[in-house]
Amino acid sequence: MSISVQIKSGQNKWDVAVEPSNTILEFKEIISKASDIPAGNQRLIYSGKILKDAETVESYKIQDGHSIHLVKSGDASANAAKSSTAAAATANAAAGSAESAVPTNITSGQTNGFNPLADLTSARYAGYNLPMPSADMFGPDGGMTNMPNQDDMLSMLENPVFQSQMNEMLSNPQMVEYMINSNPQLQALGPQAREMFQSPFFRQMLTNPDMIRQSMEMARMMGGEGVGIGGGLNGDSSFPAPGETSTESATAEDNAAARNPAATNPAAANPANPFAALFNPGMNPFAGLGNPAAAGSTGAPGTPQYPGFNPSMLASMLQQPRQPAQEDTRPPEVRYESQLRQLNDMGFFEFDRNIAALRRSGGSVQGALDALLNNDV
Amino acid sequence: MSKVPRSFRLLEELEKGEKGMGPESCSYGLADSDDISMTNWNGTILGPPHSNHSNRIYSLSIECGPSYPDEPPTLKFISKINLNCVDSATGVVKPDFNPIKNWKRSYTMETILLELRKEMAHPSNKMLPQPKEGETY
Repeated sequence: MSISVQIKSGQNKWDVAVEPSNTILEFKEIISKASDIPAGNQRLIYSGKILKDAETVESYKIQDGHSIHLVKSGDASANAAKSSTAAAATANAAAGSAESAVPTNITSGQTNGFNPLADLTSARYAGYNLPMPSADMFGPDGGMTNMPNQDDMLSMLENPVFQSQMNEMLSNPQMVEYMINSNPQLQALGPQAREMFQSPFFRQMLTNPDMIRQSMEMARMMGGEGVGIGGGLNGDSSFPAPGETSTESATAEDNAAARNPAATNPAAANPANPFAALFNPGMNPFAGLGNPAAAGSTGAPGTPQYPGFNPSMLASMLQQPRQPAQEDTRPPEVRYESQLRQLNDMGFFEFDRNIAALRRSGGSVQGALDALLNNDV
Repeated sequence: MSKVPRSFRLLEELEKGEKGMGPESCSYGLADSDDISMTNWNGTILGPPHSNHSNRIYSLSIECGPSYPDEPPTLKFISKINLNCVDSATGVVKPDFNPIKNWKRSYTMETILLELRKEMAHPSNKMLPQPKEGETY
C-alpha cells in the first residue's frame, strides 16, 4: 500500500503518494510529475540523508506523513535565476569575481555593508520636510534611475538641513573612504584626496549652493560646446580632466594652474586653457583654494604645500548628475545581502519572500518586515 | 521548570526532523532508526544561496552522547568543506565553535546546523574556495 509524503522545496509543497517498494529514482519520477522538476535535477533529503537513486523508499524508512526536502540541483536553479532577474544572468558570476569591486556610482545601493545613503532614510530626518528624492525617482529596486535634475539639486542644496547632512556625511571617514574608492580619479590621488575632503574649505565648497551652481553652469557650458579640451585624456567624459594625465609633473602643473589663476604660469596664458572660464575674476570658485603665500610664486610644481586641488575631481562629481545614473543590474540577492542576513537572523528564512519584501521596500529592513508580517508578499 | 529527559528531547527532535517541521535549509534524522539509544544522527545542511556553498548539500554525522542535552553533541562533516570552525583534516566541528562552546540546554542539533549554515553564509566565509563537491573526509 502506498504512503503519502510531503515534498518541500522552498515555498512549494507537494503531497505525493509512493509505494514503499519504489526505488528513489522511481520516486523522483513521481515527484517530477507533481513539481515539473525533471528527475535528474532533483536531490532529495530525508532525515539528514541524501537519498540515492538505487535505494528504495522502504530502505530509508520513510513513513506516511513524513516530509522530504527537495533541492533543485545546479543547472536547474541557475535557469531559474536567469528568468527571475532579467539582467542577472552574468551578474551572478560577475558578483563572485568582482566581490570587492566598488560600484562606480553611489546610486548602486548596498556595497559591502556600507550604505552611504542610509542616513537619508534614518529616523533623524523624519519630520523635516526635506525635498528628498521622491518615490517616482526610484526604480522598482529603489535604485535611482534618474538623478534629480539640476534645479532640484540646487534647491535641495539650499536647504540648511541638507547642508548639515552633507557636512556630516563628509566628516564621516567611512563616507570619505567610500567616495574616494568609488572614483578612480580620486583614488589616483591617494592620501591627498583624503586630506582634501577633510579641509573645511572643500567641504564648504561642496555644500555651498552658489558654488555648485557656478560649477554646474561651467560644466554645462563646456559640455555643450563639445570642445573636448583635454578630451584626448578623458575619452568620453564631457568635462576635461587635466589632472588625469599619468605623469606626475603634469598633474602638479595643472594643480598649480588651479591654484594660481593670476600667476604668470604659461598654462594660464594659453588660449586653449580649459580653466579660462574659471579664472574670470569675481566668480572663480577656486580662488579661495589658492594659498595666499603661494599665489605670488610661480607655482612651485612638485612641492605642494597643502592638499592639491584637482578640478577633475569636481568635474567627476558634477558629472554624476549630468549623466544618467547607471542602472543597478546586480541581482537582488547581492544588492540586499546585508538586509537578507538581518532578516535571516530574525528568523525569516524564505528567501523568495524576503527578496520580494526587500524589493518592495526598496531595501529597508523595517519595510520588508512589515510586508512579511502582513503577508503582503 | 523540570528538565526534559534526554530520550524525550531526542524523540522530539526526531519527529521534527522526519516531519520536516524545522527550517528548510537543514535536515536531520537518526542514522540507524533501530538504535534505541539515539546516539548517532545524520544531518545535512543545504549550502546557503549566493555563496560558494550554494546548491551544495553538506552531510554531517552527529553524535549525541549519554549526557545530551546537558552536553553538546559532536558534529563531524562528511562532505569536505573549507570553513574556519571545521577541522580541515578530520571534518570535526571545532569545540570552540560558538554554539558548542557556549552550549545551552535549550539548544538542539538544529541550532548548531543552522549556526553552521549561517557561518557559511557569513561574508568573510562565503567566498572561501571550497573543495570539489562530493569529496568526503
